[in-house]
Amino acid sequence: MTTLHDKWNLVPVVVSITDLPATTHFGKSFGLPSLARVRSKHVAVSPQADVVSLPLEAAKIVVTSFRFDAQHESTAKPKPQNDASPKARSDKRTRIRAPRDVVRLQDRLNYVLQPPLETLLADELVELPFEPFDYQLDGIAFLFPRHHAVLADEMGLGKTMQAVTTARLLIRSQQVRRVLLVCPKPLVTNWQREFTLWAPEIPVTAITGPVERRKFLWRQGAVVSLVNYETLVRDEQVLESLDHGFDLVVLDESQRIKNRSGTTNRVVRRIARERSWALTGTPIENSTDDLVGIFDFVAPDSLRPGMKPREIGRAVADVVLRRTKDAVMQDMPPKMTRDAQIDLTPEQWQTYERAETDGVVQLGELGTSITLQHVFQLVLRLKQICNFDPVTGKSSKRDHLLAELEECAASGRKAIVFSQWVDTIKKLAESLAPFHPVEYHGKIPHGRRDGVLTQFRDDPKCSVILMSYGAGSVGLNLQFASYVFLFDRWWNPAVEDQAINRAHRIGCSGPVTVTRLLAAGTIEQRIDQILAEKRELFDSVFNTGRSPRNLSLSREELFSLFDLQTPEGRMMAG
Amino acid sequence: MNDGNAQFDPVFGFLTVMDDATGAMLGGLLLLNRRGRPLEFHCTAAVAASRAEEILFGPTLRPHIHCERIGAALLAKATQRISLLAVNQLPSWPIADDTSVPVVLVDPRSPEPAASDEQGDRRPTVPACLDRLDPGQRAATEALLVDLQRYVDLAEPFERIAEAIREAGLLGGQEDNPLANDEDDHDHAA
Repeated sequence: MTTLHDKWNLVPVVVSITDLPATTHFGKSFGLPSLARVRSKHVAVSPQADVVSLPLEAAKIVVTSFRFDAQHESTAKPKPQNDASPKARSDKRTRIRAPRDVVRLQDRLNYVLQPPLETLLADELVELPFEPFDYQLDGIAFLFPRHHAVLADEMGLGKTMQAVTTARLLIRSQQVRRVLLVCPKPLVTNWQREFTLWAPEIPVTAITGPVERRKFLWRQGAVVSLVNYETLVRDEQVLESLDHGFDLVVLDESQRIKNRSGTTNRVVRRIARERSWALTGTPIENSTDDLVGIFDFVAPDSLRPGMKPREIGRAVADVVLRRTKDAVMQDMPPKMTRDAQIDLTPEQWQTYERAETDGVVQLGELGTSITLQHVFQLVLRLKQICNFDPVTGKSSKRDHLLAELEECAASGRKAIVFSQWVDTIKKLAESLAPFHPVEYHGKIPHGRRDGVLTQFRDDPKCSVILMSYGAGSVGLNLQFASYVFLFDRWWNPAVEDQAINRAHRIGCSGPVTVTRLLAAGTIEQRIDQILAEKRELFDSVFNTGRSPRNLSLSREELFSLFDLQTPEGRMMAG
Repeated sequence: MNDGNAQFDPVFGFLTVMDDATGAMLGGLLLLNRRGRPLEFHCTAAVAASRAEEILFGPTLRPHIHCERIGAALLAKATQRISLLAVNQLPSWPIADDTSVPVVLVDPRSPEPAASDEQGDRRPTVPACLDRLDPGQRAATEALLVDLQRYVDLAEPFERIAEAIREAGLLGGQEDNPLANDEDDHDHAA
């Protein structure tokens, strides 16, 4: 009888196994074929087949190791026992990613391997009054690892909260021990409130009062020192004499340092610091050089004047975080913006035309001695006529506003009216008396301003607040107002946006209607066109990367508002 | 000076293995403290099975590479005593047979704790399988897991490992690979 062995001429095959790592245990855990079984396995081969060797060379495993110091954690508050888990409740995990300027892999991994932000915040040692929005967590994750950062969120998205919470986490992990916070004077109390809300255990020292008191406070080395820009500049020498620097310096409304030759810019640049953060909703107000001024503080030498917007966009990509409400607050009530083109009254027209004609003639007569100041004065004069006729006091804008406010007040809603001039605000206050207006501008003492805001919010009869762009456009929370009127136009759209966003911000309960009053056929329309171009500039740096057309309200543009001609041709800025 | 009452500070290990673009495998071991803060991270270079290994190990190739090659090499590098090792892949689970550290299998698909059983057992439950534990290890391991879960979703640290391996450029096909040798760099350039 022929066996299978004979028929197929089966011969045993020896498999040689070589260079096995010492830790290899064949067959121990996984039911692998034992060596004996392999040796006796029969396979069909040709008669010529002899021995087939299958070398099993297992290369040494290369392991790269990284070790980290677990960051010190405060244990001042005992962990509650048998408590609900402090883990994050949502499924979202916000990772803290290493900034581009962190080069060492060890350092980058130290960020990557940290727990997600939700875990850090949900820890019972870091209680928060409200659950942050997802984009706010992203903002905190952005700021946390960065030594150089610009948080340029659109106004109303909670830059303050993001900065406070991040500073809190850094302080608690002892990565930061001294923080200096610089803000405009009217916002000092706002920052104190925000710290009380979002970081109640962290003491904040406001540097205020007479010189000797301020010196004393500076030298205390408080955990968080809060100072306004003006005081900071005044105390420059005290700052330089301090025997300690700051681990973190935060500039709020950092457009205040956009002027590179300004004193404020110089003083903040000289502060000894480890981390430099700037908060601004309007990193570019007039030209890209504004951003260069801010970067003199945040990351010196990374930008230079005259860079193209696209170059700037690339250079700042890892340092600037910019989100808009449209992008992140899709459930936020809408903002409706409309341009009300208003024909001047006949009296206003008459005055306006005469002023423009005379003004242009006078400018022309100046010839080559014409300056920016001359043009600027004419622009201001014409804009004021668009508001009120200086001769008769007539104003078609005011009449339009009155009609709009009737409806606003009748529905129990509140409105904010912005103007460039206190004089215009005063005139409006008289005309709007039936709506019990309150005023908020540079001539209202600081001590009274909080009271004005409280009255506007709480007094049901008070339907209108009249604000100047200068005093009222930054930092205030007026989200209970439903209407915003821009009685005249500011020089750049960023400030207008700041103003509008006093009402259209987190917490607003309904849609916000913005009305921009525009005197038809006047210089206001020409300015409006330039403002539109400025928006393009902003987008080209932060959003789209497109090259803008002509950028800011430059000398040339101011001149171009009037087609000034001389026998030598079109007049240009000197 | 130690007063003798110092709290036991357990170290939790998380081990996972990833496939790179070429089909090779590389592993990462992350050690965390009880609050989820990283203590150590170890990762391997890519390990490719030879043709001989593929033939010989057949369906057991993956457990072999996960446990006996990658897992063993990574555990050998840990400088801290691991109290509990979590894996998130079935082929990695048999490493329990080769180490004295309790090993649990975390199911990445069920981050929420399972409900208590019908017998009215009100002990906290964890989304991990403890079936490979010695009976004597079970109670202590459960207690460790409950403590860890106060701060860490058990599936989450595996995401960190994956992210770190990506950050290190080990997955292949990436432009910059900080751990790659010069030859690799030349290959990328080519």
